[in-house]
Amino acid sequence: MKRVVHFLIFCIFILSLADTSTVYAAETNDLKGYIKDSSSGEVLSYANIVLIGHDRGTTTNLDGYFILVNAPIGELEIQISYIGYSTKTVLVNNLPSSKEILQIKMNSKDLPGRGVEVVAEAYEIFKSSDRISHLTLSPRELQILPTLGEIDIFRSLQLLPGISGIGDGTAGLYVRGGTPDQNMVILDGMTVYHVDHLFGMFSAFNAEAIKDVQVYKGGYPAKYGGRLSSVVELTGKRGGDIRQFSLGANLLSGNFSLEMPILNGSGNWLLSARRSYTDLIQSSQYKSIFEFISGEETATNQPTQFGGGRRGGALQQEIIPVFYFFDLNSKLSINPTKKDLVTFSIYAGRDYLDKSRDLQIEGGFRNLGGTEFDTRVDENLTDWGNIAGSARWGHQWNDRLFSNILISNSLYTSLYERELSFSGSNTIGIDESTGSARGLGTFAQDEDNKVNDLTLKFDNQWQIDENHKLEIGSFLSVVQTDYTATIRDTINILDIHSKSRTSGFYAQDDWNVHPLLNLTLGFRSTYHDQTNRFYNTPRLSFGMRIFDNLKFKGAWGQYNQFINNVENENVLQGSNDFWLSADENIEPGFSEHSILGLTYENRNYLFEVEGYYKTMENLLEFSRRFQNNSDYLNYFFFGSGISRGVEFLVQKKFGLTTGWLSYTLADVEHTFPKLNNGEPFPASHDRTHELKMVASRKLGPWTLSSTWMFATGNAYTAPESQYFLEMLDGEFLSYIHVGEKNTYRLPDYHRLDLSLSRKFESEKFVWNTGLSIYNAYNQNNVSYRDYDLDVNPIIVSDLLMLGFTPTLSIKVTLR
Amino acid sequence: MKFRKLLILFIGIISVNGCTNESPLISEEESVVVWAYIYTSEPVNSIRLTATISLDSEDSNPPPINDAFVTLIKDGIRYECVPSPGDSGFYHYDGTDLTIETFDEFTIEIEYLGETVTAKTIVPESPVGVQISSTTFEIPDFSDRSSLFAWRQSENREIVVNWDNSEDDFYYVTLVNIESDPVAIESFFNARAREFVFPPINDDTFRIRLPMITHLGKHKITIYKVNQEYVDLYESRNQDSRDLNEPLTNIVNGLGVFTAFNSDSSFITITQN
Repeated sequence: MKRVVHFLIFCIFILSLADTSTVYAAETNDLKGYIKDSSSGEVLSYANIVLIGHDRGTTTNLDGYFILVNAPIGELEIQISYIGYSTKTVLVNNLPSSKEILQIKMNSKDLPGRGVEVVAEAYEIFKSSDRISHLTLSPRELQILPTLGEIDIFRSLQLLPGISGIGDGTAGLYVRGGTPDQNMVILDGMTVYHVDHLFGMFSAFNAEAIKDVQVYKGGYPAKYGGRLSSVVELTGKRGGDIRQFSLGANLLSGNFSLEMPILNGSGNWLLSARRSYTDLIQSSQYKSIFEFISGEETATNQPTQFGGGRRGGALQQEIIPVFYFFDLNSKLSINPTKKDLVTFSIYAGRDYLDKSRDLQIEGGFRNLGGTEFDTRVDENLTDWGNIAGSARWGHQWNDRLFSNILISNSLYTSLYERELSFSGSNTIGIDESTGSARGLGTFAQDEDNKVNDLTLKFDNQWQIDENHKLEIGSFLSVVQTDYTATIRDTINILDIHSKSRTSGFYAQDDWNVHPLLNLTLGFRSTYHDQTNRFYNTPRLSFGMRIFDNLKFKGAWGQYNQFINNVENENVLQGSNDFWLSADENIEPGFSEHSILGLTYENRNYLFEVEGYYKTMENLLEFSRRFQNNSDYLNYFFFGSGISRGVEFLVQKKFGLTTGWLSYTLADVEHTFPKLNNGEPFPASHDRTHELKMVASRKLGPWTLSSTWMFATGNAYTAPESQYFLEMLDGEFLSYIHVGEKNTYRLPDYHRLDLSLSRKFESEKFVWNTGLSIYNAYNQNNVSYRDYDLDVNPIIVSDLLMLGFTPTLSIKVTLR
Repeated sequence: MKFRKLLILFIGIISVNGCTNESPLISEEESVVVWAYIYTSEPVNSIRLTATISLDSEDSNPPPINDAFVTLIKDGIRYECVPSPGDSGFYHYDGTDLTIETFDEFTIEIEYLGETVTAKTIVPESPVGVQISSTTFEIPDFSDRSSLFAWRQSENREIVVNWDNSEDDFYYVTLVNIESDPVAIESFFNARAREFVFPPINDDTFRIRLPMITHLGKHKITIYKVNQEYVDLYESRNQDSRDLNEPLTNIVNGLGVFTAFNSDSSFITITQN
């Protein structure tokens, strides 16, 4: 059956390419040009251009260029829209054989602050695309949303239907039942593996350096590959015709950004950097975040505690965690000729945590008595980050044909080191399996993970005629992953090294079958050397206009993933996860997306409903706890999954109050033959209901915004009873007998965030200030449940997420 | 205006919802817990049955099961065990016809309240090539308790126990004072401190720090080869809801462990000048 489907798709694809014979009268001429920001001159990628009255349109490419091929001769009206900018209508006299390249400048919606009174438009944070499950996010508009201090692109994406975080402590994206590693995150062509800071509290991308965010929640085009669920493509700012410098600060970090033209205007340079000062000044906000991440908030947040057994002698504990993060973006763009653009991008990000502490206990770690203190020195270091660079050469062969060659290298490193050493007269033993005190000696544990991704891409875009846009390309990627976990420097718990090479090509035709029907057919073929196999994945999407404002959309496609991110159990060990390449032991993941949707959109509102069904195979689960029943290397389990759901979205786009309301009904089910007796179980990130409301209101010079979200509590595996076993050393070990995997739910999650922001402008400066309140009504959302088995009776504690957290931010831009 | 009303409505709903307080404890479902250890060339007297208890129970003494039918099966021959005296949940085998030798496969079968609980284990081979680095150890005469503590902190001598372990199997080591009337180095060391049992390791060397010894006289160092099911008890202890799974067990239709051990021993004598 699959072969038949593939054959039919191939036939349609060939037919679509053959359908280029339409002969156009001489009364046409290509209409082309660039779309730019009116104040800075920055080119605007992915802007929409509509030829009014002709049911035709296009979008700008990465360099802000567009072409409407075979546009009619004469006076034409084109409408340009771009998120965050006032929609503009331009009258153009399209003359026969004209070679004119239009330069259209768009006014930012920020401009009213400079004296122009516009009351009929407000901020629009995202824009839904004509393509199903595709949207554009405007980083420049995110400043009005409530934050935790940092303007956060990924956390903002979590406000959209079908995209979730699983709690306060993650900026990772769970898209339609996929896990964060199933999202391809691309910045200027570089694959970024380290996508968050502060153990997931913030995304690793500085919004000041990002110009555009394209999000494909599913059914993504053939140009992209290598992930099972979704694509987030970020385009860095290029810089415009004028020099701009801005400084910003909040309670956690400071940042600056510099944009300037170079080489007499034939080039641009952008430099943007951000660093937390949490290692120098530990604000109350940082302390509350850190306590939440480390679970040390538990002591003051135990809504359910049963009894209180003896926990040993008097403790003296000194914890001075040193933490900081930084990131840097730099982009150099040069136009050697009018038809060439060369860009060099660099991204670097790093997180560092020193959580070393000393622990003293009276009478020794085995409580043998005495009044002297034994000391345990706990060296605990975590250091991880990503450094990546790309070079792209774009060449315009003629008005209709463009090519891009890109080479990128992305290096991710994660290092975790822990060493426990003991001193004192009573210390007699160390349990080497747990690191608890049992002997005078040293317990050391290291985890080291590296990913080195070298990628070469060759992309071509050919606007054949007004009905066909062909994209073809090829790619080669060499990914080396190394993961080593050792105990006492000598015992390798895991030592996996893999180098895989993927190469292939893709082709895609964007075909306007009829003024009311658009069809995109694509095919991607990838050879993976580790498995010595070709992975051929067809893609299809369509959009059909039923009425003027009502559109029926759909997509179907197959996808593969050749690298996995394995979640670690301990949130503070390493970066909480590590990357492993697929190889002959770990099969590449596979997914199939089927999506249908309806969109009704007018000037004021967008109503959208989308239903999806996604199957996933060769999923990977990692557990350190079970070592004799796994599928691979003691710790790995393989399985499959099904994700299905329906998303509803209502967006108010116009007026003083704007925002959206979304609801998602979803189900994510995994089946692992060696887990849960082979029975299906809800995935840990399964959320049945998700309701999100985002609203912003202009109040004179102020903007008041709020976000509220409600979600079904996370699935977890619950204990049902306890039992004891006496070990041979006389020690009583307590165990809990647990129910079926993930059949219980934490309490439902909900949270209200508020923000008030204002922009002040003078001749030389622009000031942006904001006050945000996270979790305004201080809801006690539960992160996870902790079962302390070392006491009797067992203590069950709810680890809470962040409570009421206000934060201030300020940014000044020099004109 | 409508938006504001909607917001108020939602906040009202979640406020009501927020008042609910789910108990994280799930009601108890009683299961049989098996603790059954058998040793080569030793009588069978370490089989114990208890029941699970509810999570909020403060009872650290698990309820014993004394009225089950316990049978050991080897080579198709059934050996009926009987309850040991008292309300302990212990069972033992009275006969002398049951031998436990290397590579014997045993099945335990427990009939309780109409349910059948079973498990299997194979007796591992004896540790091979056991050696210790010294057979004697002399400690100074301590004038007071503080000098003892100072010595324990400064003294780093250790006895190294070696054995062959080419298969990366698991072993555990015990150190037991076997004197009939042992003399404590200091009076506050109680009898319990005469025995040290260390957790299983998959290594071929174990280092015992000698100043940890609390009594004078002859000590027996025993190296037990253990089966994976015993190691699993240490490996599969669960802590929190993020990754909570049933602890590994080789018991079918029940919980706990049924395992066999094989051992070899050496001796060291502690003297005081």
